[in-house]
Amino acid sequence: MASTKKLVVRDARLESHVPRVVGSQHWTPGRIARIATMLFVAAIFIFPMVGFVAMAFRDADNVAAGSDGFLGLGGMSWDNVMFSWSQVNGFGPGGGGLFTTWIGNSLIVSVGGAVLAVLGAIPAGYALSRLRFRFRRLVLIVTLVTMVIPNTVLVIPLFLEVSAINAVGELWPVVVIMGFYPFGVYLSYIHFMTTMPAELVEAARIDGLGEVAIFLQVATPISKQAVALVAFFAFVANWTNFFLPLALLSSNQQNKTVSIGLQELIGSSPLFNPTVAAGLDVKLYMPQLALATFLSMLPLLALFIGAQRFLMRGQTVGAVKG
Amino acid sequence: MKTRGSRRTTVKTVLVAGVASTMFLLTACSPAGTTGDQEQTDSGGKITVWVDPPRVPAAEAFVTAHPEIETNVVQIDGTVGGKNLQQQFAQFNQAGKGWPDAIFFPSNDDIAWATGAQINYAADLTDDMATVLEGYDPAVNAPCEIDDKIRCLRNDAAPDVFWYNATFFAENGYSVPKTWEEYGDLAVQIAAEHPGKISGFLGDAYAPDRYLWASGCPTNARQSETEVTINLDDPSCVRAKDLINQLVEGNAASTLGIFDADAATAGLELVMSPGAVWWGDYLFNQTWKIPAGTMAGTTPLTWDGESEPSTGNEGGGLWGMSSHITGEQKKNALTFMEFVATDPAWQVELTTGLPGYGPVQDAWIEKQSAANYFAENAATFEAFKEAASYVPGDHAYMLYNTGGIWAETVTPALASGDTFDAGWSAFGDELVNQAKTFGYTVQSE
Repeated sequence: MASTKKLVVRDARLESHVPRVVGSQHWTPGRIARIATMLFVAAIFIFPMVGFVAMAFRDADNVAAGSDGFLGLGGMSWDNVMFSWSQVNGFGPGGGGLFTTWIGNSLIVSVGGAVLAVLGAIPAGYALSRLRFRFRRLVLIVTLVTMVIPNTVLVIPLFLEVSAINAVGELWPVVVIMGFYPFGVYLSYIHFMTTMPAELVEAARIDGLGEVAIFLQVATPISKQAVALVAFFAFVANWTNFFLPLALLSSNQQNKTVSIGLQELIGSSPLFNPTVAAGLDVKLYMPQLALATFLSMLPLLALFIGAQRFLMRGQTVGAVKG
Repeated sequence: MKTRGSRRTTVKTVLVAGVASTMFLLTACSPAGTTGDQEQTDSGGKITVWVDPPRVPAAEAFVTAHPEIETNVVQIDGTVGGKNLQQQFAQFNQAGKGWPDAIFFPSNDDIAWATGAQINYAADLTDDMATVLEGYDPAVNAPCEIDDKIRCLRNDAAPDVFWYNATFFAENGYSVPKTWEEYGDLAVQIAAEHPGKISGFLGDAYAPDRYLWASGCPTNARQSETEVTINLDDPSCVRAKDLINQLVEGNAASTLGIFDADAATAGLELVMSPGAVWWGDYLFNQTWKIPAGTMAGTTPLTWDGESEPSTGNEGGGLWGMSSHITGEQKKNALTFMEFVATDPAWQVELTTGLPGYGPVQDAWIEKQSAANYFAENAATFEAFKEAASYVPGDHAYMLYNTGGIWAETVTPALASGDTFDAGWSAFGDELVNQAKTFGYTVQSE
């Protein structure tokens, strides 16, 4: 009797873990209206993206003529992509190649900045959440305030600092500055506050572990999600950062990033700058610009797909009290 | 429950953080404390030159011709009207270093801030390049003469000649007009007799250069660094306005701009128009693909009652040199400036624009005319040279962009079927507004 009761209770628990179907299962007017609205909103976002990707596969003359059918899907071909790539890759002095250089530089500063951000943010977040020290609260508030300061405001002071050490035009100051990532500290702080009970730290102390050992042996092994989150957000922020590379790297031809390089491509297109474009060997019309933009998005897409598992779990950081 | 003491601590902490962040923001946002008056430095010889993408071959030709000079060539964003360049120079002034030793300005308007008291980048070339300056027609380099000093060198001259479709004129027995008034009348006549044929484009940012600058209309009459005369009621503006009105009402001009995608179709219907010398190769030949032997250029038009032709200017880039250098670095930068302005290796062999420097124009014409594209080939190239001296010199490049204002006011008015008068009125108001926004005192007399 007692075992039957246990089974019933276990079944009830199991049932409680089965996702419930939300909403009506019948095709009521309300349900149809909801689905139609959602499809409409989705279409608003999806159509431009499909058109944009298709543009990278089209021919400039057909684009100008408005042919190629719905969203230009009828004019897509690999030959067009190869031609557009020859134009994009041909941009730059001495036979071109600037675009690949920009992508390489973006990878260096984005990866470098993300690594530094993780190395700084995880211990900082841990310290703020689980250690007690003087001015801890002030540091936390300053971190929060720094998070909301717009990047553009910092560009001139940062330029002056980098200029003072004669490093304008070099990649490493950009990497170092990108490594300063207060949002990562905040994410890490929330992670340790919610997933690492204070009692665990106390127990480790009682067992004789020092503070550094507690961080390395107890906190770090359970930080995989926080590391993935901080690295992902830092990489995206670094890759799309425009003002910092513009201020610090514009004076060095070989060290520009793709975020400012794309603007140079647009500035050299006959569509936006006819007289300038007239003097160029390459012609950068819509398909070429779309291809360059699409290629510059690929690292972000790859990272997003690769880190999806951590991101899906990590988005609940802070949602549940530990 | 918080105690009074802990609450006080929290309040104090927030206050300290708030004050600290406010101070930080104020410091970061404070305006430039320094102007362009900096100490001159000498690198010992190495120079850095900034060029937009089409001018990269000029810099590379210099590197080939002068291997003894260590030259760092940087390709910059060539966006016309971009504001990033000015921002970068403001940063260099703050830092007291970082300026390029020579630059090709992506926009001609850049010379206004580059010579202004705040940035003060462009060097006075009057004495240092006196010999080179002798080779320029004063009208060609007039935009570089600022407060009686030569602050830049013109790369290429872009005066307007009078273009006409020689085949169409011969087939229909029309005579090429000599005056602006004849041009207006004939344009309307042709539009009536040959519906669809057009005699000009009004929708691009160069349109005010083509018609208003050509008439001497004071839209950009610089009086000093902080004063400008803008008077669209001036008789020179009124006659240009009347001409454009005549073209619009007679359906004789396209409301498109020359760079619009649809202009390639409309361009095939063009029978005559004032237009820059670069229209010939870039627009007619390369972009609109008008067959060879069709178009011809001739002497610019004259306004009734005047003895000489008067014409506008569309583009024509400017080279500037740093005022922050001295010694061997300055000497090498001057060598670079002389090369890009005068050397046939760039000005004849590589560039497609009519050289601003007079002594190389004939060699450029000889090379370009070999293609034999124009109907009256020799006369067209002769008109190119001649036109440069007919450009009114009292038209300065300013901090505000007259062509951009035209494109924001007149172009949409015409495109929407509104009257030209409505667009003209908005154009005048916006010119004055933007001039004031940039700190100019606007005079109307």
